[in-house]
Amino acid sequence: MLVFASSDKGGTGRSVTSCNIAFHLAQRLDVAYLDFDFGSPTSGAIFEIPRAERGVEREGLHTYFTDGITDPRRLDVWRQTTRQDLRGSNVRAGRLAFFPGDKGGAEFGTTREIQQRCVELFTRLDSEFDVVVVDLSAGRSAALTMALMATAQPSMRGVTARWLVFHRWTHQHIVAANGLVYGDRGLLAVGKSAGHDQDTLLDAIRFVRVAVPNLREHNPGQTAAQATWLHACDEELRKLAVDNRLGRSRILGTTPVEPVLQWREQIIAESDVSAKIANAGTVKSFRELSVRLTDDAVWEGM
Amino acid sequence: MTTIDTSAYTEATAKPEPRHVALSHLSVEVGHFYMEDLADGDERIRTQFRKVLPWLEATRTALAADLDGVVKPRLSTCFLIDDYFRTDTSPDEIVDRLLGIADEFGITIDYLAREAGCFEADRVPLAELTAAMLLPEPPVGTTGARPPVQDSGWLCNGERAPDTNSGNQAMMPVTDWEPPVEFGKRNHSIFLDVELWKDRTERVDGRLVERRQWSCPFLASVWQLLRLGALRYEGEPVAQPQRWTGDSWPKRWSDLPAVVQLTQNPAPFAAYRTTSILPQSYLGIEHAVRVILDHLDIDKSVTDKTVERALREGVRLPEQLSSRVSHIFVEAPVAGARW
Amino acid sequence: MIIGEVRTGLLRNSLPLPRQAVVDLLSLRPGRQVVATDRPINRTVSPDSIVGVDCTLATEPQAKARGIGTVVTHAVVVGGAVLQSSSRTRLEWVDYRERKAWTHYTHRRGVVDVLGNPPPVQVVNGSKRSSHQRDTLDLGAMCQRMLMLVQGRPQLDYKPGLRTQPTQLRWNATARKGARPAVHLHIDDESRRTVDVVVPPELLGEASRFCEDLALHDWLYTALGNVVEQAERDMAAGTDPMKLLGSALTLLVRLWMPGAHVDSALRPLWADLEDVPGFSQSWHRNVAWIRDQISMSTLTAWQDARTF
Ligand SMILES: Nc1ncnc2c1ncn2[C@@H]1O[C@H](COP(=O)(O)OP(=O)(O)OP(=O)(O)O)[C@@H](O)[C@H]1O
Ligand SMILES: [Mg+2]
Repeated sequence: MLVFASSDKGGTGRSVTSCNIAFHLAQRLDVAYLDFDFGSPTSGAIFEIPRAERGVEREGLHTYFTDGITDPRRLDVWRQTTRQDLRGSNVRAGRLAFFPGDKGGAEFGTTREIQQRCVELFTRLDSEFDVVVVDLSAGRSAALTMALMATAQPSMRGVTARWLVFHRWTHQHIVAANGLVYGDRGLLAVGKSAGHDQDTLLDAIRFVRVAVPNLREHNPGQTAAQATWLHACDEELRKLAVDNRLGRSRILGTTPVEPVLQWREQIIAESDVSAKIANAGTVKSFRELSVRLTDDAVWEGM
Repeated sequence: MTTIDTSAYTEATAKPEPRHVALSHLSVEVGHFYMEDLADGDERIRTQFRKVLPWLEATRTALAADLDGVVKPRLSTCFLIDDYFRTDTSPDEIVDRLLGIADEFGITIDYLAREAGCFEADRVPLAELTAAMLLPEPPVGTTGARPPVQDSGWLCNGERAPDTNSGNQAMMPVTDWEPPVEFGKRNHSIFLDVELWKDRTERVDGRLVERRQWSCPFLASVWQLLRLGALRYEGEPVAQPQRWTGDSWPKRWSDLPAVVQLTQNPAPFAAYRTTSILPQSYLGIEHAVRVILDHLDIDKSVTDKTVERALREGVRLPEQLSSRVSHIFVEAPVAGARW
Repeated sequence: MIIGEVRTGLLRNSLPLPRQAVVDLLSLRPGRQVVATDRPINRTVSPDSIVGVDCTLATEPQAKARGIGTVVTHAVVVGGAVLQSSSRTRLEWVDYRERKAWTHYTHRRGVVDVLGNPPPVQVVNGSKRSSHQRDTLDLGAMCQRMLMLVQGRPQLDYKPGLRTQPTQLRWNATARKGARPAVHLHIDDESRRTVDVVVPPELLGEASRFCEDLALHDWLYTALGNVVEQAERDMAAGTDPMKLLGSALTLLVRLWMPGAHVDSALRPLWADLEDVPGFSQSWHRNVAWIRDQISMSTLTAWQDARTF
């Protein structure tokens, strides 16, 4: 199964959330994580792999696409991460292979050859891994277009592809996420012109609401007026989401605001929770996302 | 033939060696006509044959001298009509007229061939077959990492000028222009880049279909391969000459076999060597044919056998197919571009 | 000397393909024959595809070596289920210095002329380097391209019956007069292996088939090992592994026949490999384990049915 992580805006939490999802999936499945954020390949930092923090020296995904190498570099996260607690986390865990970009790599134009290489990479990895998570660049990027075109190829028709659109819980983010999916040159429009069936594609898209404040939690520093105002805002956003076709039935899940992540992009492991550094709710939300992602019932047509 | 061989069990895993075709010493092409040349009165045809006659005689003499009386010379003549790029004439208007004019000059044409037959003959896709044999010459530094460019539909005799910047990462330094270079050049290059085919999308019954149009030089290369007896389909000879048994010529070119035998007992159609007597304007096409022939992965078991057979008759054949092909260019008018 | 690479993986098809479908699948060059053997198990080989190369040859330690010529690649399908692609070229040391006319090379398919007179062992060692050195002969790329070409063909349903990791096996075969055939297999990591073969000159041509057979069995062995691991993981997590085990049984198990498609003169090489590391023994242990799991689960299901 291929899972594409997209977002209209940068800095929404797309990479951090999808890395955490991959981490949870890999507890029971073989997972590959591809850094397709070609303009700024930084997912290595989230897995805490020092030699790939900003991409690898050579033979990363950029080189694979533009220089025609055959086997892009893959790093075994369990072995390469400097986080001890990730390494030993589960003796029975599946594989978690990270495919980094190149250090200093930049966006590139898509040619037929590059398009073909993309199809090859996806088919190869899909036959090898249970889930392949692809972190795309923000917005209407070349990477997103390439992914839409690749998945529309006849030889990819047996491959399940799921699309996640990450957004924050604000007015602008909701409108932007709507635009990315339903708007001009959006996912559906580009997908259709690439050869996707629009309804099938729509059924394969879910939204993820990132860092949504929990209003039910008691907050001693808050005045009654503030609380009322926040609830009203939240209600308004809910309506806006429904109007923008980002409502309940279209979301895969929600992550709460996590203080650790406000400071640092990282995997939230059980050990962070037991050390009382991270919130149990955060881990729970990532785990739920990973379960729902692979639960076919969640993805049945609407 | 490969076999799995254990003491108790053998299983044939391949079909027998490719079959042979009968071979002349020389196949002489006395013309290659486009419909425009044929449709426009008899004069152009007449000029062509007038120019061809002395050279045809010369090739006969030269062949006899080469063979030195050891064996009886086998020479066949042939003629190619282009019904691939235009089909809007009919054999029953043209063939007899053409043969009549040849006859006026005392030229016997043993075989008539159709250019569309070089695309497909007896349901065998000859052009596709030949395209699958392309083996482009690698520029220095070719490691096999990238797919050979043959998929692009072009073939050249050297290294193209480097492409500037497409598919590169953004913000890379711009490089200066460099010229193309002919492989194996001594001082200067004669660089030739040949278009082998063009793919286009056409609408057929409301549906879009991809159609590949083969170029004239490419079909002309298939034509040379047929005349050299070098093509096989799963080991079987292709486009073998057939007699036309109908009372009159058909209305459509496609009803004719790819190669029609016209005379009673001609020497074989295919030959050790070929000569083509053509108007000067074919020079470009034939240069391209030469480049194509030099970049093919020919079935070795076929070519080796031919060399051996020739040797048994005392004929020494160069291994390289393009060296068995020669041309005589005559001054004859043609109607417009040749490709 | 011949150097080659074999890449092995599962066909992207939910069930094994019947014989004729495999022939269609591997009809990659119009007019060229696909060769099929049926006993003891179906093995079908595509026509060779040829690519021209002119580049540096990897050497270790570094020496001057330029290779000009052609590399041949073919695809092999075994039992309608496993796909291999195999690239190889025979290296011939020459003493000319300038590249010759292209027809000099096209007449000798699958031969690369070695210019610069590098010591042969350095070329062998170079071909075994753990990471591919840029701008040197890239058999892996040609291999992978063939693999992808076949995996994208319309005869397939593009749904692999099992998720498995492909393997890459790089090999070299040296001809030595009067030598007793010998083989050495080295496991570089999870997916990469290197093999050295020494044979008398008359058997050099058979080495590639032996290495393809070795690559097949090494892959089967690895894949089945991974299946067992995954099944244990599923069982620990309370997930039912029966579908996985069933697929492994139908797709992989009947393909185990070391040496079946190898020239009899090279079959003793298999005997050596059976001594150390002893492939077949652990293979059969894993197969037995899988069968046990399946029969236990059937038994439990049957008992559950009875208690109702
Ligand atoms: N649930 C959360 N709570 C608080 N902060 C979060 C949460 N999820 C992510 N963040 C933080 O948001 C910031 C942006 O996250 P991330 O880098 O994953 O975004 P992105 O969408 O991948 O951005 P870019 O487009 O730049 O790649 C990071 O500092 C991250 O730690
Ligand atoms: Mg990011």
